[in-house]
Amino acid sequence: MKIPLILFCFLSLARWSPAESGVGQKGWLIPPFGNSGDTAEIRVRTTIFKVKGREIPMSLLEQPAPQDEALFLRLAAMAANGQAELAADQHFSTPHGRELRMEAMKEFPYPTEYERRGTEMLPASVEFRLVGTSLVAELYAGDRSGTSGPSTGTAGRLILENIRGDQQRRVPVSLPDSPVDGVLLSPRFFTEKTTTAWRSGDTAHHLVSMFRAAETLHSPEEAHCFVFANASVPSTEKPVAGLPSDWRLHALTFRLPRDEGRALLDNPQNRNDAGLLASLLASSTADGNTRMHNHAILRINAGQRLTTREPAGERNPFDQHPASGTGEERTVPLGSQAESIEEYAYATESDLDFTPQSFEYRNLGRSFTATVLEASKSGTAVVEIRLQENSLVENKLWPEPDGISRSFVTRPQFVETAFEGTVRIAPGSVVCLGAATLPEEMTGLDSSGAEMEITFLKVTGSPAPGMEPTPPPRTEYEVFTLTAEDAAALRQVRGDFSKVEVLLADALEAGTAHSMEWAMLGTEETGKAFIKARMEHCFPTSVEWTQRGWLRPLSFDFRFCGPSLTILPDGAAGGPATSPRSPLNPVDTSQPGETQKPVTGVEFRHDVLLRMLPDTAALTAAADSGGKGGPLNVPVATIVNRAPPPPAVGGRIVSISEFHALPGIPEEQCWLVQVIRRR
Amino acid sequence: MSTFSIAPSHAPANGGETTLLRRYQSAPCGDTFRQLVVRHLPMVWATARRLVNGDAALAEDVAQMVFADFARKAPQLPPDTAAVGWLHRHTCFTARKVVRTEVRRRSRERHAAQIQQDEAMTDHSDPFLQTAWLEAAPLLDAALDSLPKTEREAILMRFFSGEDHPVIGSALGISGEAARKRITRGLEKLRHALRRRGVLLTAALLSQILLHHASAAPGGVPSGVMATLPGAAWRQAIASGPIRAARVSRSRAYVVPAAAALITAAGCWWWAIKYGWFSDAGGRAPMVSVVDSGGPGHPPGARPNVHVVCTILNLPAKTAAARLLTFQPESGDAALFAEFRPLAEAQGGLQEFELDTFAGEAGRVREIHGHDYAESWAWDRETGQRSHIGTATKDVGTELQVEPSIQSSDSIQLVWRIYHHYAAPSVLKWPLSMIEAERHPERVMEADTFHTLRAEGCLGNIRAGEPRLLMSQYLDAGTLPGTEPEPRVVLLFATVTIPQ
Repeated sequence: MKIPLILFCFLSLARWSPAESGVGQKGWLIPPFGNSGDTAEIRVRTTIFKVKGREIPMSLLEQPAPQDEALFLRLAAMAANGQAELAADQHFSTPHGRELRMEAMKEFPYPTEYERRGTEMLPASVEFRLVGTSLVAELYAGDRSGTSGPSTGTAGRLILENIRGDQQRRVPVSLPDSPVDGVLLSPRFFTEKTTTAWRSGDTAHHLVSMFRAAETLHSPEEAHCFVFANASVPSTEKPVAGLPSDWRLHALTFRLPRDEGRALLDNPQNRNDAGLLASLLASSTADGNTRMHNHAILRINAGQRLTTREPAGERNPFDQHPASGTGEERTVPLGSQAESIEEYAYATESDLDFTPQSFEYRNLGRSFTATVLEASKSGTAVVEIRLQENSLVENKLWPEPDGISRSFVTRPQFVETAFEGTVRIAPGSVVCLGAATLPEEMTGLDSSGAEMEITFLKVTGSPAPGMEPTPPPRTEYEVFTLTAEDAAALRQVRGDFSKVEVLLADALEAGTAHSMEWAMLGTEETGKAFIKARMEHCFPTSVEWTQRGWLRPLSFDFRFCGPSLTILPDGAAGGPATSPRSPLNPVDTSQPGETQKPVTGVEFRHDVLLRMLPDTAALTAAADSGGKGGPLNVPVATIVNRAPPPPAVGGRIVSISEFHALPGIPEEQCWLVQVIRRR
Repeated sequence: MSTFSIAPSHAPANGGETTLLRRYQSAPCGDTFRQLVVRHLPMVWATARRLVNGDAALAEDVAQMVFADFARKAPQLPPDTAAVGWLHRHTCFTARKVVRTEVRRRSRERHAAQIQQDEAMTDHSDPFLQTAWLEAAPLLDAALDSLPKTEREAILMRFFSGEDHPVIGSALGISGEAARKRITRGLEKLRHALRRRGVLLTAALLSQILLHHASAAPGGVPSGVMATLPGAAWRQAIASGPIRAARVSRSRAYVVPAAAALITAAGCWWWAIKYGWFSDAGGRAPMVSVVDSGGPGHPPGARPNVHVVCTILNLPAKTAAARLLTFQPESGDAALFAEFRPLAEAQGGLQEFELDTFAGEAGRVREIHGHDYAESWAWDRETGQRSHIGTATKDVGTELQVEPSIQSSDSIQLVWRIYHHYAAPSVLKWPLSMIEAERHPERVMEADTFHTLRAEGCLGNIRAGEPRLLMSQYLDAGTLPGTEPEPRVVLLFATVTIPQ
């Protein structure tokens, strides 16, 4: 037998140990039941369909929207015909009032370390990742429900999580002495998770969430996951009484050119958010300038509470290591959440042969959370909304390819957008939650320049006459660059904001002013709200020449840029002792407004790069000097202001100040003016 | 699944190391001694050559001295001695003594050149591997010497004598799995020992250089030495006087273990009868089936009053999923069972467990068997052939726990839990080239991966004799498209009866 040259060993780090598996051990894995207590049962079913295209999601925006059961049957038929994919399906019965867990997991093997053998990359170790479906159900039935409000049907919470590791991503790995670019195959892990505050009085299937499928987050091809659940008590139980209507919330985000977006929002005729949304829906196309960037749905119920032992801090689904551990037991409003996450792996170190030596993982994806804080008997509700997206713009090559030098190091450029705020809603209502300009580098390669993002919340249903909530005021913050002359003129008219607006508009038209950043929030004047769009730039700080004459980056650093606008409540400014957003408050069904807290501050922050990222010429110069010129650096300036809230109508100048010359801005426009306004 | 094992490359024609040594200890003779020399000479030769700076003539002298000493001292060695361990240690001792007395000066470059020249005559062409070997070789034996005896012997038998895990385990008095673990621990300690001496190696690389360089292949020992050394060593040994056999009475040495083995066997047999081992092996690997029916608080002779049959159906999703999406629970359970059970049985996806227990108490059943899986492989880069060099065993099977309670004369409620752990093949693939994957074929490798289904629940109003659906679970194919099993659906039914 020829002696083999390559030894391949598994490091089965993630395998279950016998102690964990229990099978084969002297003891039993399953502990005795003990006193099962009240074991009335609830039959539950959860199903996930995956459908390509936008036809089904768009049909849910129609008036009237299709019913959940009809949608379920339609998707089931499509799955039978191969037009939709069945991603998960579980059917079980759970004891009343007990937390039940089900999981179907398997090991997914993938290489984690490589060794180079000539021109080959061979795995040196392999790990196993658990993938599959898990479900947590804590449901209550009939009169034994522990929730407030009508105690009928079934209520509680469901958490459905689907982890997949079924695709491979090409990690660019360049070989200096090869005429082509090399690749490594890296597995992709996707997590799709829905947490729902459940309540139902029937046996129908209900759509609890819809979100973009994780594997399509960064591809032009769209696919959405539809998560259904139904839960019912056995037929011998008494028929349930009617329950308050469940609300289906749509979170819709559009991206469009800045100028077009500003024109739409500034148009007085578009003060009606429903009309503005309709206009954007009509003009958005898959590949046009105006496009729907995100569409997610959550089903929420009013009046749900949960007594639970929560983790100590708020959980950010994009944390590498989310907060864990036991916190104190408390009663909190029961929220719903939909998450779609991809674990993105990228090389951070390489050896002299440019073989990747270590990888980092970043959670990319989208999250939509809605929590009912108040439900009034008049048919409106106050909900806290949170939207977050972490994504990848591009893998930037270092040095930049110029037809002469080859690039063999890549670094991803990540972006983060987030919104949080409180809004009052009713069936059929539409609210423009917020908007913000995006850093130009965020818009991707296919866009036509600077863009902005506008986010809406739409509630399914027909509005009851006279019950549509008054749209909240819009708080805007804008930063301009001006010439010295314009700045001096502004100072003269500072006290009259209408004149300020006229002067700024004239300067913009004349080209002597530039609107650098703009952000808007359209939330209730209660509690904290924020919107932000931030980009993470990565650039080399040191380079060297290799023996073969290649520019090799040695170390990297990060800089963040982008705006954020925050509305701050004042906890010490008097008013009621408790906040509607305090998790310790029980859900209040009294008239709205009694526990609202006034806004007392607005904070705007904008980080801006003061120099362009180093190009090949800069890297060459740095390598030639052998590092004697010091590390490459990109300074950042932070514009931050905290100001009192604007007046009810109109606005004011927050500051006028001289500033640095900014990249891409004419040198004479070295003055900044910041304004805050309310419409 | 079959057990993977590799025939050791240096295995003697008759008997393993332990058998040979015992035979020589009981009756020292030239023939048995020659077999021992043939078996261990490559390791001794390679070790001696490393320690005498590559001088072949000196290495031959050292090897002859080592085997001559072994011939005289082997019969007096303790019964649990592994010959390879003793020989390696003695080779190190003898070589150092020879170097000191001979006062040979060898430069490191000449040493490395000598080894390089020798290596160039072999088929090893990997410069990366060679570099690592050149760094580690001069320090390897001292590092080995620093290991604890148990791990040193295991490594020597594995990499220097080419034995596989079951043989090593037998020689050391432990299981093959334990031997594998001992080798893994020993490698890690050896790696740390080398690191302390300034040589940095990954675990995988250390395994490679041990496998390929530590013990010269039979062709590596000069043929003349192989032919003459055993006789020369034997003559040298007996020149000092007759070689006496071992004095320890073997019969006495093994009385206690044998007695213990008898007792253990008897105990196992009793246990097996009580709990129904060896039942329904069905041609598979031996299965352990244990049933625990209810608690101890019943009068002697009390008969369980609830009979539960749990049926697990494993079906392709294309068969079952569409039907499940439209079926109505409760009323449709029996029809679903009647429709799916024969399909699952025909496709080998049926498992059934029967349990007699007492109402109000938990009954449990467990069926497991050992599943052997390949844990490490070796690749032949030229031929692309893969051979397993390490296996492990993991228990797979099913645990089921039920707690019935009688609701009325004709309805029962069942609280249940299931843990279902099984193995299925998965495919790991990666491009072995840094060039675009389309230009070079991808390597693929099958690996057994383990799947687990855990679930629990409660179902009431079960009519006696009617099968009811406790749970259904869709299992995604997942992982790499086109290379994975198709999606499946697992259904768990329960049929409860109350014996008269």
